[in-house]
Amino acid sequence: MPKLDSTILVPVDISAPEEFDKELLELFGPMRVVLLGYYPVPDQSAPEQLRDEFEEEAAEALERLADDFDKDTDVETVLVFTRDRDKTVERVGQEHDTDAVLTGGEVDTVQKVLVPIRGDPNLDNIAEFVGALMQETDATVTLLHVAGDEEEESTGEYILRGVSDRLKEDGVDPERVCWEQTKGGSPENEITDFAKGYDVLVIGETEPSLRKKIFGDVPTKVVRATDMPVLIVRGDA
Amino acid sequence: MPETTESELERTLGLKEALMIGVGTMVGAGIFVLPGPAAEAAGPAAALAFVLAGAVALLTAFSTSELATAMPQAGGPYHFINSGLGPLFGSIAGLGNWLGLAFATAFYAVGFGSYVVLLLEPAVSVPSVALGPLVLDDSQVGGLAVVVAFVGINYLSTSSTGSLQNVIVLTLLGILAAFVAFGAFQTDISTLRPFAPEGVETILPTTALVFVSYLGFAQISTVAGEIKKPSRNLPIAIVGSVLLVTVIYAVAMVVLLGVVERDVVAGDETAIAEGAAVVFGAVGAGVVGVGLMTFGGLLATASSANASVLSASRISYAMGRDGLVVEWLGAVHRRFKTPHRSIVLTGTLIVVFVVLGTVENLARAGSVMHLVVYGLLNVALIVFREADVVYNPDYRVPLYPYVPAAGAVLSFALIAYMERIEILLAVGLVVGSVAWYLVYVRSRVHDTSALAVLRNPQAVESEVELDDDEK
Repeated sequence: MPKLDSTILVPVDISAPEEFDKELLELFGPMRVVLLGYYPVPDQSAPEQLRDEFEEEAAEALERLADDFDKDTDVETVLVFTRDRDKTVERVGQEHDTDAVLTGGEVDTVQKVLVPIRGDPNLDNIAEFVGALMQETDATVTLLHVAGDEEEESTGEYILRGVSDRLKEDGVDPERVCWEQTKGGSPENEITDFAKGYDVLVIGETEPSLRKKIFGDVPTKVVRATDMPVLIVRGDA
Repeated sequence: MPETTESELERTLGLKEALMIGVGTMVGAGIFVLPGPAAEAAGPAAALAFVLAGAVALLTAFSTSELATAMPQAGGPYHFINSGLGPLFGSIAGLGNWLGLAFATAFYAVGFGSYVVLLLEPAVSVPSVALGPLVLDDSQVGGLAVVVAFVGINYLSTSSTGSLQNVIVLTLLGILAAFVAFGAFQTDISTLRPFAPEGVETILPTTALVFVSYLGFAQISTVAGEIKKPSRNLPIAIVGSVLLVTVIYAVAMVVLLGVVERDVVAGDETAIAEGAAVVFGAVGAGVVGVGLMTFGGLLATASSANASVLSASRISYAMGRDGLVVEWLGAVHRRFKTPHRSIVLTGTLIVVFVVLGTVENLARAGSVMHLVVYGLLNVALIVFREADVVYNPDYRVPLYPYVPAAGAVLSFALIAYMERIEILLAVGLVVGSVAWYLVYVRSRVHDTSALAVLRNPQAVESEVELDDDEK
């Protein structure tokens, strides 16, 4: 059995809080969630000033959002006044030892999960996390590998088999797991195109530093290009 | 379910970012605008004036480092003086810091205008504008444009411009390094003689003029709470940025006057571009040199102006928090989260200063206000050390009490070398602040400063207890 104590970091802009989709929250089941309310501080104001003026309001909004989670979910709230969202997400993610970060996007139903995979060392973390996620829902998962050329295509097949076997070992019904391969094009375009038929994306970060990714590796570009929820699985820091 | 949520403030600035804030604010004015006026006043000895001004700033930089590690809160120099010397001196410091930054911004803006004129010169001429009895010259028109633009941008808020700032500062340092590297081989020692053609007595007034080039280091202390590992990074960034820009200014000044005759650049606000034309002209790239320097001048003055508008607008929050002005003034805009009223008021003042001032008297006005503040800051440090109050800086100035004592004395002394109008301005600041204190502050604020404790420990203790009881 996979461990069920996976921790997900859920950052929200608490200066303009939006309600979560119920469907998405159910996905988390008995996982641990760190709900990070970040309050963006513009260059013109001192962070202390915004805390003075908005702390109470922000804390209330954050606690209201926390109440929306499933009763089984263990929610911890963190409120941070910050000039740099990405640095805060990275720091809080590390300090609370979270396994994945949820980023924006809307969802109606969570039926189909897409997991783009590369041959990186993060693979174990992704497989474990997807395994845990599958325990909570009856959604189906599609593993996707985008190859650059023929050679990569055969490595890709090997990796995909490995991950889907791993999921079966973790007790996920084989009926619910399938895999796809595509070739050519830029990975981010392929993934974004493919993702159109899915509800949620689970993607691995390529390096431990999430912040570095913000300026344009594959996961980041995908996050920017889609308006669906993306769970970014952290690497081993 | 969570019970209560504790909030945190993110520390986002490392050593590099902190250094960039200091260097970015300083490097603009000093070398892109003042070499011409400074050379006119003192000749090659202007290089020495830059070094002397840097030395005075360095003493205060040590004191600022200690105070910033002791109380890393919004407000910077104003806050140190207010908690060290009480609301009377706090009023002088807050108003002085604020007006000083507004004057400095006006100075940067007019400098920016000069570079706009240089850029457009052959093709388009920026019109002079007559406003009733006032005539605005072309660089003032350019300056007003940039002030209005920055006030607008800052009203609407910006975020994460730090990485842009880094790129700007590194670009400027690169341009100056190229100028110095090429220029060093062409320097003709004979043009550096006589060293002080107008007499050695011109050196100190020139020091007073160029002091405005060193105002950036204190900006680092206003973001002390956002700096990682402050006990290490604050002193390195504050002291390091002063040392770095002092060297850059002095070397660039020597190279400039080593490659062009003093008469050519005297009084010219874009003198360094003249220098670049000669330096890069020697390798057949004079146009490139002028282009680079013009670009650098625009970038440098604009980034200094913007940084100063930002800092000036933030002071009103700190003063409001301490009860020295109405909190309404510094309150943030509901949507933009910027201290919009303070920004508009600051912007209005800057516009007035641009209209009424010239480059040189704006520079001196910016300097004189800050010298008052820096003098008081050094005194505040000594009072903190001597009074029986909780004061635990992670960094301590070397050679106490000599460094802060010298910092205070020299900062105040440099005021004497200003022109009469700026000396009157300093007096006006003190008189105006005292009046404000008597009218508004005194009845509202309990003095619990280190100075009050030093004078009468029991009285302050009992007042603090009273305050607690009231709550």
